[in-house]
Amino acid sequence: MNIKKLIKFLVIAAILGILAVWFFVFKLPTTEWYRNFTTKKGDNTTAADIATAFQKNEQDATTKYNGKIIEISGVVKESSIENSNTTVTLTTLDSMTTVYIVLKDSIQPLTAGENVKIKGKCSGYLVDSTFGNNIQFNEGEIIKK
Amino acid sequence: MKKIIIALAFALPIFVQAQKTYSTKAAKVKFFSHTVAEDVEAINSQVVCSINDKTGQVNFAALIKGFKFENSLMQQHFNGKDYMQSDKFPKANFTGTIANIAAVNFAKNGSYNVTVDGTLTLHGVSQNIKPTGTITVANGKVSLKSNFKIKPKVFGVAVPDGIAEELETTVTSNF
Repeated sequence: MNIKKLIKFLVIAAILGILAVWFFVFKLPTTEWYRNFTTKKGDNTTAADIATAFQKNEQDATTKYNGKIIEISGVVKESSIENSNTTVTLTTLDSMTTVYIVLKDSIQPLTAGENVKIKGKCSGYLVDSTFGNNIQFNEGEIIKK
Repeated sequence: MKKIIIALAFALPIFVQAQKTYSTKAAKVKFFSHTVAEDVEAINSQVVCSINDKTGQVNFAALIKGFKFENSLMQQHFNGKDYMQSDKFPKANFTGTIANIAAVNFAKNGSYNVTVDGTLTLHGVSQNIKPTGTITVANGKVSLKSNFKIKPKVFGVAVPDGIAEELETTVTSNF
């Protein structure tokens, strides 16, 4: 292989390398497909059960649910549009604890008392003296109502 | 004696000023840092925030996993064991007091500059910070906005040199 061919090969390899880094590090991870592909799927559960799990052992529940996609069923306590996001709060067995979900799409708020099933990503458990305890979900998507 | 008690009971509300706590669980915290390769930017729109209009007490609480990045690989790294360790330290919170709360008239439309003195706990490390911000009152609606900078290394987050050494943080809260 002469020098000219070697340089040509190295230039092409460098360009392909840069393109690969750009695609796999910067482009692909911004796609919805990648987000869904890499997110671990968790259990199907109810608002009551997940609340009980966090209240019983927060550390274990954090390990089990945090960052995972969960399909959660429950009864709507309230729903509104806050900062242009539709939010849904589900009741649990404890009046001081709720499941708080921000939906992916901005839609009409749901009706209190409705039974729903929502798929969303669990962010964890927040204890607050004003709002009580809430298990937060984001990127919510209504599966059934 | 009975008359005095009755008189005091009527007079008391005049002396005791009613307090109101403005609160929301949909405050937004955004952080941003420019890097040569790619900007680091994330938003959490499920932040719990409250302000007491008399004592000036301010509280924020956020879940680290609630920060959403456009690049989900970056989000994984952010939550991972080398950076925020969000499985170990799932929450961030701030508790402080607005030093000049008396200057804010919650009954009158206006924009009021405020200084907050408080403690930010992040990655299991608590540090005193003194951010400034603006409380806006518009027709009974109250909002708070603050911009300040955070150095992750101060909170024990080992960021590589030259990458996100300082995060420009914006807090927006509409009550």
